[in-house]
Parts: sequence; C-alpha cells; structure tokens
Amino acid sequence: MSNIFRLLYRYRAFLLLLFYEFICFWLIFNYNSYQGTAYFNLSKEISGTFYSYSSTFKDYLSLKQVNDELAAENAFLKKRLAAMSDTSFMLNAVLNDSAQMKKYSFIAGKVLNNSVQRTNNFITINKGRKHGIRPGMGVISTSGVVGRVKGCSENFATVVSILHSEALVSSKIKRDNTLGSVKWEGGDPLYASLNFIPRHVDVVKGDSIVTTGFGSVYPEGVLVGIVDKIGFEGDKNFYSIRVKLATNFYKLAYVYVVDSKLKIEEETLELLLEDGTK
Amino acid sequence: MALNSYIRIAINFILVLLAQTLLFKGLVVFEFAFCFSYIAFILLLPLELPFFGVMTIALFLGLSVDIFYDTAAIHAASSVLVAFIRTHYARIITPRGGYDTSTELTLYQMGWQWISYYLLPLIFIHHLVVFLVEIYSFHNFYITFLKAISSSIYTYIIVLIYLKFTDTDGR
Repeated sequence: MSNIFRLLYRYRAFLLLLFYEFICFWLIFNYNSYQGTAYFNLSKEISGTFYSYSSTFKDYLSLKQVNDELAAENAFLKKRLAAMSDTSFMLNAVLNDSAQMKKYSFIAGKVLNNSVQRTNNFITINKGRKHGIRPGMGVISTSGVVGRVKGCSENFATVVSILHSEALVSSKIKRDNTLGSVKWEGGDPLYASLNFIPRHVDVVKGDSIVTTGFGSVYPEGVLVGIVDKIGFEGDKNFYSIRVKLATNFYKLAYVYVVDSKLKIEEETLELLLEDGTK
Repeated sequence: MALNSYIRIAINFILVLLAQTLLFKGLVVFEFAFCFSYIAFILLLPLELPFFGVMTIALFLGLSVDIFYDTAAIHAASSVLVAFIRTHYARIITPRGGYDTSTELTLYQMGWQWISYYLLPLIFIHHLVVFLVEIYSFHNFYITFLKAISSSIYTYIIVLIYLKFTDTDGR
C-alpha cells in the first residue's frame, strides 16, 4: 500500500497536470459548441455502427408488434388514398396551392438506439446526411411527434426526443386552435405538460393536442398527445394540463424525418422581418 | 516567501490579464498572428516556486483569459500544460554552473540567450496547443502551424520588449 502512495507522490506533478487538463477538456467540450459537436458527431458514427449491428438482434424480438403496426398503418393509408381519389376531392386539390401540398416529404428511418430514463433523451436513427437529413428537421412516427434532429453524420443522425428537458413542441388544442406548448417535465416518459393555455379556454379531458406547424418543423396536425388531467393553480393565469403523449417511446421502432421544402424560405423571410424592424 | 512577493504576483496577475484583454486582444497582425503575452507571466515566475502553485496560477489565469476570449478553457488547458513543462525544460537547459537560488528570470540575471532558449519553445508549444484545440482538426494543419509560429514570434517580441523595459536590476 505504501508503495502506491510513494508512486503517486513521485509522479504528483504529472498527476496534477492530468487532473487539471481533464477539468479543462471537460469544460472545453461542454461549453464550446463546435468542439462538442465535432466530438458528438464522431461518437455518433462509432455508436451508430455498433447499434446497427446490435439492433439486428433486438429487432427480431419485436417483429410481430412492428408488423402489426405497419399493417394497421397500411390499411389506414389505403383507406385514405381511396377517399382521396374521389373525383370531387381532386377538384379541390387542384385549386389548392400545389406548393403547399408538396411542402413536406418524409424520410423513413429505423430507430437504432433509444432512451427514456434519462433527463435528456436522444434517439439514434439509421439515416444520415447522405439520405437528406439535416439538423433541425422534425421527426414524427405513425402515432405522433417524436422530436427534432440534433446532428447528423454521413450515415446516422441523432434526434433530440421530446423527452428532453429543453424540448418544446409548438401545439394547439385541435378543437378550437388555442395555441400552447408541450414540454416534458421529466419523470414518467408517457406524460408531458401543456403550458400557456389561458384559464378562460374550454379544455376537457380527452381533447387532442396537435402540432401547429409553426416554424416548419412538424407538419400541422400531427398528434402530440391527449389531455389527461386538467389542474388549476391558484395564482396562475394558465391551466396546468397533463397530456398523455401519443408516441410510446418505450416501443419506438420506426420514425419519419420531416423534410420541409419551404423551411429555408420561411426562415429567411422571418429573418428579413427582424432586420427590418431594427 | 515574503508577503511582498505574493502581493506583487497578485498585482502582476491582474495587470497581465488587463493588458491581454484590453490591449493585445485586438492587436492581431494581418488577422493572422495573435499575441498571447499573458503566458509570459507564467513562464517568468521564479523557478523555485512549488509546481502546485505555478500550475494552479496557470489554470486560473488561463480560465480568466478564456472568459474574455469566449473560448471555454482552451487557454487554461495550454497554460497548465506549459506550466508543467517549464520546470522540466528549465532543468534541461540549465546554464553552466547551475541556477542560483532565488534567481529572478530577467534579462540582466539570465542573459538574453538563455531567456530566448527558454521562452521560444515554451511559447510555441502554448500557441500550438491553443490553435490546435481551437480548430480541433488536422485539416489544413499547415495553416494552423504557420499561425502558431507567427503568433509565437509576435508574442516573443512583445515579451522581449517588456523584459527590456523592466530590466532595472543594477542599473
């Protein structure tokens, strides 16, 4: 034992150097977004490759459930398609702005890695920059909103799921279009809270909360969750509403990345507006 | 060590920090060569100061400079590294006859040749680490290297001017 202490004492200068450098590099990667992202991207490539191998084993176990979900979705889409090929509907479609109709395209991706227990949860998917994924794109699933793309490498992308302490989803109550924002409060991955709904608005349990489509991240009308519990806090102007999230993050297997063709145009226009008012 | 020296070190610390952030931060030659003269403060501390104190001072000076440069701990990392190396390096380039105890590192005491042998490589290592960590890739390493060399020369000249200016011993 005393030999260890003697060794440590002999190299105390070098050990102190290592200790200080460790603190410095921790600070560097934490607070410099460029270095942090570069490291994050590299680690993403490595872990993405690893997870894509391990997921081939894990997927086998959830095959039946995923198949059932896909079959149900197929049936729903076929029904929708049949309804849309009704000629009177086509007439309306022609009159609508075709740019609006082609506004969103979807890139399907498989979930390689997911977490629900941490304070900040991320999802890794098997599509990356070469498939057209860019940071900031919204990600949805068949059941509802999943999150936003944080970073991407050539073959993989990380998605900040809404189970993240800083994630906010611009939402509205479907029935009367009241705007609010959904935030996950930590804890149970099945529930989140809907904020900024003023007290004079009519909200009942069972109301659907959908996305507004603002910011061209998610298409309008994607289900975020269902109102589960409505509470009042004495001095606040807003309800405290608990929403049961539409997406079951425990069983997330396939997602769609939303590519908004008009996002850049919308953002540049909004930027011009900001510059104009300065 | 006398309390007087501690106070002098503390005042020098603040002055070096002020000079770096107010003066040298903006004096960039051709947008290419930067001056990080605060490192001279670390390098010119008396050699017999315990390494723990020198490295801790280097850490805090580096962190303070980082606050003004908006880089997180990049200068701290390289300052600590240089503070560690300097004792070993000084031992390697011991002048004939060894060092006298409590020798001050000034031009008069040590001679400008020894000062140059001492300062140039250490300043270069410091600047190289700063630029490498900042750019965080070896892509275009040639440019980074050139930046480090030109900045080191620039810093070295500034430090030499400072030493000449404060060379009061015996005159």
